Amino acid sequence: MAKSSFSYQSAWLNGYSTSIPDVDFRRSTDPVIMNLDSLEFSPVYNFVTINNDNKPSITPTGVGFFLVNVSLSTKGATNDTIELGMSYDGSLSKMKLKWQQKGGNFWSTNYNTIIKITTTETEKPLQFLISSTIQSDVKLAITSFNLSIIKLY
Amino acid sequence: MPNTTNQFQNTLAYTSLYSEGGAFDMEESGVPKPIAFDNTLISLNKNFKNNSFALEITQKGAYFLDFSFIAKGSNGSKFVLYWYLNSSLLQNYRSTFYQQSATLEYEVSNNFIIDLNQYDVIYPALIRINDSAENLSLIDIKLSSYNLQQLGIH
Repeated sequence: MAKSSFSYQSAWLNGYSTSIPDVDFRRSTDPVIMNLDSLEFSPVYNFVTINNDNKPSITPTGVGFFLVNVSLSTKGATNDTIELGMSYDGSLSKMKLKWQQKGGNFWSTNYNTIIKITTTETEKPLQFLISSTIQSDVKLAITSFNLSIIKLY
Repeated sequence: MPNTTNQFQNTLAYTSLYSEGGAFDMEESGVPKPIAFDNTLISLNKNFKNNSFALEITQKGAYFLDFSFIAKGSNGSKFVLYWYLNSSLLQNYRSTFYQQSATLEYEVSNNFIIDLNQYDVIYPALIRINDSAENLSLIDIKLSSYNLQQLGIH
């Protein structure tokens, strides 16, 4: 790779999975951290996708402002109102996405936000949290999940 | 790291496509049908070529693609939005949606980043999983993309 003054400014990542474990809201409606262990990453540029314990982790190698996009398809959780949020820098984002499962059929939803990341510690990776308004008997299935992150500045 | 030797090309590449859309006839072919609407297509291209919503890449790089439309009709049907790359169906980046009611309209969209080479052609396609007598209509179809490996955005 050619060295240039721009080499350390850009960063992007795409992660994809169709095998994220179902989310079970029978015990609690509190937000749970989505298990993204099955994410496959490509392309990746200036992001770390694995931490020191050899576990999946999404962390940029440089601080800055990032555009985060999530496309996901869900089914199940019959008539729950689902809320998707994220955490980074060790704290929760105020940006939330809410939708209703309307009978538990397939729904395609998107989450987009711009965040400022001030740390590159892999102990404080990007995480996604999901919750339900009711303790549904039917688990929420995430049939596809695509994450793209682009460093803006 | 992306598979390019020229990491930051001094070349912008972006595209923005829009069509009013309309009825999308889905014959029972068993394979996803490319989404194409030519009659009302508006395009703004820089270092992209397009044939309806099929994009041809002129500069190798990592591309961000964002696609959306409003789905209407085809009551009770389930659909999967796929992407083709050079006529090969990509298993990644797909979205599944259900038309709960023929009278309601739902937005469907997805976005992703993908490494593309010069002359690659990428385009969206739809398949209906279950039979329905009703046609699906795609309204306000939008596709935008830009090359992340270009000067001016980092």
